[in-house]
Amino acid sequence: MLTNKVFLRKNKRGNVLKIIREHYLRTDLWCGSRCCVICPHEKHDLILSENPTSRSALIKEPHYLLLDTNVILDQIDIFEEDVLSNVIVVQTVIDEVKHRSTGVYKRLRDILSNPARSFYTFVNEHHRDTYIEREPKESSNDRNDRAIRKAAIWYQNHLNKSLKETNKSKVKVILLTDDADNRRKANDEGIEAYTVENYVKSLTEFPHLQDKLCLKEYANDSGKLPVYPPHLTVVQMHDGIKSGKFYQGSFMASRENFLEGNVNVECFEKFVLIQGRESLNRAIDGDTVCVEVLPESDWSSPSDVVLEDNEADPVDENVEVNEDEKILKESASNKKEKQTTGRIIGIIKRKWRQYCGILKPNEVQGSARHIFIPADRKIPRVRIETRQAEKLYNQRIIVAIDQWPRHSRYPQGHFVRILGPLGDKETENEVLLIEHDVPHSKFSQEVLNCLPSLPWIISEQDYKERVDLRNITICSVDPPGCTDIDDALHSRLLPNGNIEVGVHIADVSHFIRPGTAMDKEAALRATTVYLVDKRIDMVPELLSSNLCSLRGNVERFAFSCVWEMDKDANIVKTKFHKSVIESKAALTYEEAQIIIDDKNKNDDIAKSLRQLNQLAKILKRRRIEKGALVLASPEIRFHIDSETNDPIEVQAKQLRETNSMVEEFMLLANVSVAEKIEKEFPEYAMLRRHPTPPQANFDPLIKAVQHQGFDIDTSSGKALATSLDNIEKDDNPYFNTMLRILATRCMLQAVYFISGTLTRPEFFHYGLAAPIYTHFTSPIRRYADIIVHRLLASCIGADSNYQDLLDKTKNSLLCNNLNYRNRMAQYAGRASVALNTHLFFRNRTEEVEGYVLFVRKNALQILIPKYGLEGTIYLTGKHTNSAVNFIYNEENQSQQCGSVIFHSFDPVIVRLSLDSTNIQHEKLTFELLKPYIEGFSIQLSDKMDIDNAPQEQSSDATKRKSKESQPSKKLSKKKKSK
Amino acid sequence: MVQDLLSAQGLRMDGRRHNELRQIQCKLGVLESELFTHKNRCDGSAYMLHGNTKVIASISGPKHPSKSSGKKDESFIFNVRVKFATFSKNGERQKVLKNSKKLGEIEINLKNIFKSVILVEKYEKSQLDLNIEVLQHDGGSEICTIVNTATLALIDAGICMKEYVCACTASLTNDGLALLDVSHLEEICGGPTLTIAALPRIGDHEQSVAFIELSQKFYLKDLNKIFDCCQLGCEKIRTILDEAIRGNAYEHVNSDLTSN
Ligand SMILES: [Zn+2]
Repeated sequence: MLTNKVFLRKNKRGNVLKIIREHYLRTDLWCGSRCCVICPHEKHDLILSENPTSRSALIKEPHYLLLDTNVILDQIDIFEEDVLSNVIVVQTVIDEVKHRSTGVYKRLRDILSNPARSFYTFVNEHHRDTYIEREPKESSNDRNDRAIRKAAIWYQNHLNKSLKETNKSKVKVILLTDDADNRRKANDEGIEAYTVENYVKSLTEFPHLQDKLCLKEYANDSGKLPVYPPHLTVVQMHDGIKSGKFYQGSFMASRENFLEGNVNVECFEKFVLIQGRESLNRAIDGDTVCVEVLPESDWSSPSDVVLEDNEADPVDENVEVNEDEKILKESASNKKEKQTTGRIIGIIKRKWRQYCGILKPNEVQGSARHIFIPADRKIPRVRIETRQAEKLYNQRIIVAIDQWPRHSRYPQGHFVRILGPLGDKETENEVLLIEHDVPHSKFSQEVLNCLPSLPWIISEQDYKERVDLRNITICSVDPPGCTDIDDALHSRLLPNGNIEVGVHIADVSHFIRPGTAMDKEAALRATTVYLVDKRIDMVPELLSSNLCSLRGNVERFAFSCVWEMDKDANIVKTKFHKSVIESKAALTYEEAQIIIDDKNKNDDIAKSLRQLNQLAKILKRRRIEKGALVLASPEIRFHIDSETNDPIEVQAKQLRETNSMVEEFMLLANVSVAEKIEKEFPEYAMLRRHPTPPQANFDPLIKAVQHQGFDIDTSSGKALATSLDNIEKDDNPYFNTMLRILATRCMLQAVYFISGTLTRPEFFHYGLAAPIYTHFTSPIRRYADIIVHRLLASCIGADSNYQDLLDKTKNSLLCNNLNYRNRMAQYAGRASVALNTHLFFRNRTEEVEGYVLFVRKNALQILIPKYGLEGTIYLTGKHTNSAVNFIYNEENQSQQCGSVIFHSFDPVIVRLSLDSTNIQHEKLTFELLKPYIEGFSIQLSDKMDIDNAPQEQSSDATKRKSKESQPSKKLSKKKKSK
Repeated sequence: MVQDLLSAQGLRMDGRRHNELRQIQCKLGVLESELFTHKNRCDGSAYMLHGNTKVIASISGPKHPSKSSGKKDESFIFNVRVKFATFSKNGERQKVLKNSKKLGEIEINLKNIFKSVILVEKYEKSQLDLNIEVLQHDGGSEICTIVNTATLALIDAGICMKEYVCACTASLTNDGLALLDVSHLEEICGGPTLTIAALPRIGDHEQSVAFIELSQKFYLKDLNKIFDCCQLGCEKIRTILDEAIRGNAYEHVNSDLTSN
């Protein structure tokens, strides 16, 4: 049966168009109920159980639930709990949810596709008896509500008919909706309807489910004075922005000061400053807001005070907390430089997510109202209701924000789930993954279905389509314990005296086909995330650690980049092809180094490695001559106890010649591939660029070096590289490394982009001094490389093209996601190092050498090379109780106290210990030992000899480690390229 | 990413299953020949509604070649003219094809398709004109409906052909399931479209294909699947055309009987 849907739609020019779409109605859509004797069900269609016993005190009879759209959008947390079952979700609702929230839609789909949950999808929109036309003057919302009720009525009649025939007891259909009007209409039509709240509260066996109720409905306590000014309506904001009166931008809350934030408005060069509770007006970090700029006389400047929300009694709303605001005003007003300041007058789009944090103990016993403190300092506290507070103390929990009404100081939300006990390593890992938005759930069945079946066999056809390199001596060189080997190398002498060098990269794009569930998941994850003791794979383990991994002595598919070079490492010829290889050895950097250095070894592997090493040195020299930077960041590695998983030793990462050997060839391959794909697809190549930093970025570096009597030239990458090479201080061997660390901080982030969106000069990679660059060499752990593989395969005719591969807009969006995920992965990695450092320092103090990195107005920034740590020693202000007076000299960046003067780069000895007073944010405390300042420095322990301190002071655990030499897990992998 | 063309319940956006055609209604002899002048005489006609695409085809001939048309040495002159009615566009959809390149392409394709099916040797030194009017078009590769309607018109005009020519499209979901008879909505949602015009069966022979067209690239491994789907569609369409023709003939016989 057919009906035509007729739409009227206005096009861009304002013409009204009539759009006709066919809409087929069917008679072969079934009800999915086991009590039905009418529908000719297939077995797998039978989702709803035969006897859906009621567990609700409201309804005695067995029943099915039918949900409306808002119920799902607001209460998805309730339905995710494995409590409610025998639920009918009609197509109308699914379509509306999909339209209004992709996030909720995805979660709904997960529930619907799980047969154990007994959620049935009824395609009412294509069912002959339940489809309804929109009536004249009826709003589309009203029409949809009517369609949902129509489906409920149909179900009730359908079930009654079935049950009459079988003489079974009645099964009711209950409509859940929070819309009072809809409930009334349903009752008029003979359908029982309840609010979710009432229904959930009537489930006496599951009192905890109530905590997950979204608080939207019953939050309107009247009679309270509003704390915040009202938000403008959508139309008001729209008109204001159009007329230039208001501006739109994304809100970024301050980490240090809960009463301050910035709005990034595109047309302003600087951020718009927002200060004070009323101006912030309920904006939460990440929201897209509408902002009004204040008259210039009211402009302010960012305060330099740290303000934490420490409200004593969270339950009492009416306490005026103006103390903090006063402090803020004072600190802002006595500054000279004013910044554009504004106030937020409306929210265009919320970017609320679920937040990790802890429950603040409530002094009032037995109260259900509690305050939730998020782990992220940029997020305000959240008011929630829970009846299981006792259970939640000392646990990391997840909370979702529901709304933020005017009269409530804090937003209102509801409890979602428990992560685990506070301080527990697993829990804390989970927290940092969630807080950095790292997708880390198990791969879904849909994704796993894309995997090849085992045993995986290379067919004759495969050999035919690929170049057979199995008899070539190829080997891989990686960090110890690496299981996702994405690259291998070879070199051999050619008859003409030239050298053939091959870089072989795991052929991941052979396994991950475009558009499949696995491809989508990998594109979403964008990168493998390495935590200290955990790896969150971008692709399922079967691929990452087995089928794609170029392990030793097994046949694997590779994408090869093979050069012919002369003795001086000049490229004579480059070719790309897919191949079958068999790596002869999977070496560690150390093993490879030993082979190269061992004069007695002269087998093919040794020859090949030596040749590669020699060429790599030439390549590196040439690259540095061109102006590539050698930067430094303190990188450390933890030795993890294999039983307790606690870090027992910290070590700075060691770099060998072979690290740099592998890196050189990876860089070369990336450049060669970048050139090739850009030539073939000038518009669509996915490349990577590293923008030249603005000169102002170098100011702190230049200043710091000037005080040491050196000049540094930052006018170009080449000049900077030369300067860095030439500055040495004999009395401070770490000086040069610190300079490089500082230089690294002046840099901008390298990013992926699509070649057609920028001009050629903008392709430049500043750090590598390369005019064009991309990522080709790590497809197992980076999605960009997969795209690059597909592009290259298409260039050489090894694989077919597909439409999205050459879609500039889509791929630019993809680049945005890759850049975002990479940044987040990097932060998550750092947070993981910090977490482990804290675990390491639990119940232990240590006295170590450090250097002054920066001199600040009230503090010294200290770097500890041994642990790659950075911390602060406060000299004045509220963080220190000392009465000693320091004199700050802004001109030459020094702090003086008596005869002791601190400059950047000065060596110090500090004591490290862990401060656990804030259970959510443990932090390392740095205390000064040497130079000794009476009344400020702490006393040295007697026996300690300062010069040998770091080694001698290592703790019991470390000693035990060295004796027993436990196997250590090392999952962190040194990135081979920038 | 390409939007999902098939729901979890196995339904397409308009409610069809993967192997279902859109609705097809057709009728032969819709234009009364008496209404036409001698010059524009109509010897056979047909009308088809396929989804939201409406096409009328009319045949004039076989007749003596007019002086103006074709080259003299050509033994059989076959002219095809396709016209899109100015009111044919549905909503914001494609611009009306008017003397565009695409229009010429359709005409040439039609010419080639039907020249390979009509028993040309019977019509030596005569001329046949095929006029197509697209009253309303709704994507789904308009050439499909045009070919099917033209087949009916040719049969209505009593032209000898080897077999019915049936045309059909198919697309592919992300999960690799072939979808029969692509609607305009599905087309703009991004799936690749394969169009074939086939001679469903000649005696015991397998289907033979008179025309094939691809809207965009896709993996070679999927070609067979999508091609089979198209062929299946052509057979279904043949049944529909066949019923229409037989129904039409039956009507004629009946009316002849009653009038006698
Ligand atoms: Zn039924």
